[in-house]
Parts: sequence; structure tokens; C-alpha cells
Amino acid sequence: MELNKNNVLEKVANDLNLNDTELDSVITSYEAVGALLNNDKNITQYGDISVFPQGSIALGTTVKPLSKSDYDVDMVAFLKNSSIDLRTLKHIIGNALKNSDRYKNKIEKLPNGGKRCWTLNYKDYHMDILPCKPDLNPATYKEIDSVIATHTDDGFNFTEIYTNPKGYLAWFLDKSNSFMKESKRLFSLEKIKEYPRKTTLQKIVQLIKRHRDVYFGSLGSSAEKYKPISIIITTLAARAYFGETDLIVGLLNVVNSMNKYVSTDNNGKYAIINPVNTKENFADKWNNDALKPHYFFQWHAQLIKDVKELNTLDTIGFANKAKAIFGKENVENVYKYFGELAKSEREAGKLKMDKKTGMLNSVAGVAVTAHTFFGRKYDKE
Amino acid sequence: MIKNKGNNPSLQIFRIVSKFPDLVESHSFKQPLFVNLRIKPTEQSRTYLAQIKLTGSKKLDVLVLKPNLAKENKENKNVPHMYSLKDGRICLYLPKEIDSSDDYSVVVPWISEWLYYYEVWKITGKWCGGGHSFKRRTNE
Repeated sequence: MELNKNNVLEKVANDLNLNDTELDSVITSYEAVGALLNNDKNITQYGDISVFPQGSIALGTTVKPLSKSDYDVDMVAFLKNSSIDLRTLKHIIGNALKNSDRYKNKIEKLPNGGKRCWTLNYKDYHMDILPCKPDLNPATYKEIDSVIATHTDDGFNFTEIYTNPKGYLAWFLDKSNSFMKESKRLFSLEKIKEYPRKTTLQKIVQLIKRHRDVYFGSLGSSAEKYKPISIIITTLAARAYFGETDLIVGLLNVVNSMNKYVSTDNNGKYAIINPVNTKENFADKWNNDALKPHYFFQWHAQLIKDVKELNTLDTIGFANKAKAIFGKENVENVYKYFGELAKSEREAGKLKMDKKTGMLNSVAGVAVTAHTFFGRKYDKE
Repeated sequence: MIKNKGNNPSLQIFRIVSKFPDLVESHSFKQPLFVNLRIKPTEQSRTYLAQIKLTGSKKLDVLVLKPNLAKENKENKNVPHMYSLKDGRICLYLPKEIDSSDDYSVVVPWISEWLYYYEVWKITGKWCGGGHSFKRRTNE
């Protein structure tokens, strides 16, 4: 595989994925929670409950956290009963978890957890389980998979939250695959691992999320709460994506125009409406805290600047810039991989040099025959 | 007429020039015998100017003329596999791996490879191309 900008970025994005062991662990956890809820009569007396992933695991856009912080795993617990009241809905699921030996010590209580989701703390990740029910009155007929979830600050008073996890996944996959011939839909747990070879859009989202993590990481813990949430980044990026297959070109185009999809109304209120649920505004919190949009636009301006610069630099310059914006260690590991790859290709007799440019590759040209670099390891002149 | 296959130095220059015409920037069949090559080890690398010089009867020197490696490594002079950072002389092979009866054009891909690992070394601090080193006589 040639060392060029696209291949480097592809590998940077790939290395941000959960590995198979981590994914297996997440799948096991999903399945265990699903089994528990499905077997709980206090729940099933109200109707069927179906459990499925949402968020970055479902979308294929997970980005491993920078430091020791754990990662998010999102799950939906969907009860097929539109008339159940919010409080009961929230509590039958919470109680099933609290009463189980397995989960009673993992569950995160109010005020930190339990406002919208029930959060289970595992060793390397936490799982947010969203109890919800069907929304029989979606804004448009297309939003038929819309759900109603619940929000509470005190455990007694509940308000309705509108969202559409199934619809969002389908929408995002459609955007990802828009110009690809094969299109695979993912809904079930089993299919997470066979996820189609990552699409360009998924990698673009991963790289942008990583840039965000590094940027806010360098601002310190006080800026942590202003980090733009992933659903906003994912939605804007998907809207700005038009099927590019070249990763750098796609990244540049998306980054340049994603902010256009942040709307403001006549009162200056921000809106990033869920494309599959008109009742959900991902930017609602921006209207309660002006620092949120402030940091978003400040970060985004830097993102454009950084990606444009990446595009103009030569191999060494590009690498140094990539280290600065995507993380020094993981980018260095990518280049070490390419370095070692060339050596093993030479040793296998597969390394070649293009006669016209001098470029190393494994496809065509003059063979790079066996030899041993020699000389002083260091020269102190 | 050329008697020996490998021995004639200007024949070595001729071989390189005719094998890699697109890479050659300049050359000389008379003393000092040399050929300068423009090489980019990767698609987005800057273009390097390397020189294969035949000095004396059989000795083969390979240098990186541009960019000036000494200038760009002022802070860390420990550039791996160089005979002389100041001159830009790079080490591509063990003495036994090449002799005067060989076709020296085999060295050209090794130059590209050296530059490739040089770039990776600049980026990561690690030389990935393998190789031998020998200890200096002074204590290190």
C-alpha cells in the first residue's frame, strides 16, 4: 500500500475504531441487557420490548477517546406501547436493572445519571440505555419510526423528548452509501461486526470528531462541557457530504460547508433539526448557553484552517500537521506501519520503484533488490 | 570497445542514464564521473536531488545534494545510515554487497528507499528500513 495522504488518513481513521475484542465485549453487554429486559415480566406485561444500538456504534463512527476516559455505547430500549405513561416507562426499565445482581452496582443514579437514559458503568465504557415508546403523532408521515423518550431532573416530573434512532441510522447510511452500488442496512446487533467496509463519510466523521477531541483536549477541562456533541457533527457532516470517494477531497468539502447547515430563526435561535424527526432540535442547548455555539464556531474555523493546510503540505509537513491535529502517537504509529510495510515488501521481493518518478510502490517499476543500510548509526559532525 | 561488463566506470554512468532517463537531472562521462537524479520516494514527497559519484577507480559515493540534510538536521544530527551528514553521504549497502563488476544501477532504487525511511524517521524518530551500524572508535 502506497504511502500517500489518503492512505495515511484512512489508517488514522481505522485505528480509531474499536478493535474486535472491544466490539465483542460491547455486543455481549448489549445482548445481556436485552435478555434481561426481555425476560422481565414487569416490563413485558406492557408490551414487547426491543433493544437495539444507536449512536456511533450503530453508525460506524466510533472514535476511541484520547486519554483514559471511557467511551460511550448507546442503546435503545423500545417498548411497543404508545399509551404507557412516561414515569412508568422510565421506571420499569430502571427497576429491572437496579434489581439485577449484575447491574445494580453499575447503574448511575441522579443527579449524574438517569435524566434521560439509564447509564451502566462498565470497565472501559458506559452504556446509555434510552427507554422510549412509539410516537403516534410524528410531524410528517415519513417520520414513522419516531419515538418518545423521557426527561427528568428529579425522578418525579417527566417531560417528553422526541427522537428517531432507527430513522436516523437509515438516513445516515443512505448518505454514506449514496454513491455506492451496494448498500447494506444495519439494524441488528449481530451485524455490527460485519459492518460494511467503512465508507468515506464514516471516516470523514471520525476524523472530524478526532480533531474536535484533540482541540478541546488542549483547551483543558473547563472547556469540556462546550465540546460540540457528536450527533451535531455527524448530522452536519452528512448533510455536507455529496458522495466524494477521495477522502481528503471529501474531508475538505465537508469541513468547508458543514456550518451552512446550522440554521437560525428570526429570533436568532439556533436549530439543527433532526432530519428524521422535525420535533427534535440537536442544537436546543445552544439557545440556553451562548458559549456552546461560540465554541462550536471557533473550533470549526480552526478545523477548516487545519484541513486546508493539510491539503497543501508535502509528506513530512503533512505528517507533522496530522500529528498536531489528530494526535501525535496515533499518527506516528501510522507512519511506522508504512515504514515497516516497505521493509517487509522489500524482503519479500515485492518492493518496486517507479522509473519515471522514483516513487516506491508494490505494483510496477524496477525491483528494489536486497541490501543492508550500513554506515554509522550516528554521525556527530 | 568496452571489454569488461562492469569495470568501466563511464559505462556504469551510461547504464544509469539510459535506465532512468526521467530521473536524470545531469551527468558526466568524464572525470568527475557522476549522475544527478531527481527522486520523490512517495507521491507527495518533495523532490530530492541525489548524486551517484564514481571517484578514483571503483569507489561509489551516494549523496543527497538537495535538500541540505545537515541544514535541516541541525538540532538532531543523529541521522541514521549516513557516512557524513555534512557532505550528505548516505550508506546504502554493506561493502560486500556491491563490487566493481556489478551493475551500479541497482543502487538507484536503494536511494529512493533510503529517502523513504528518512522521511518516516523525520516523522516518527524511528528508522524502519533495517540495516547495520558500526560503533565509532571513540566511546559512545
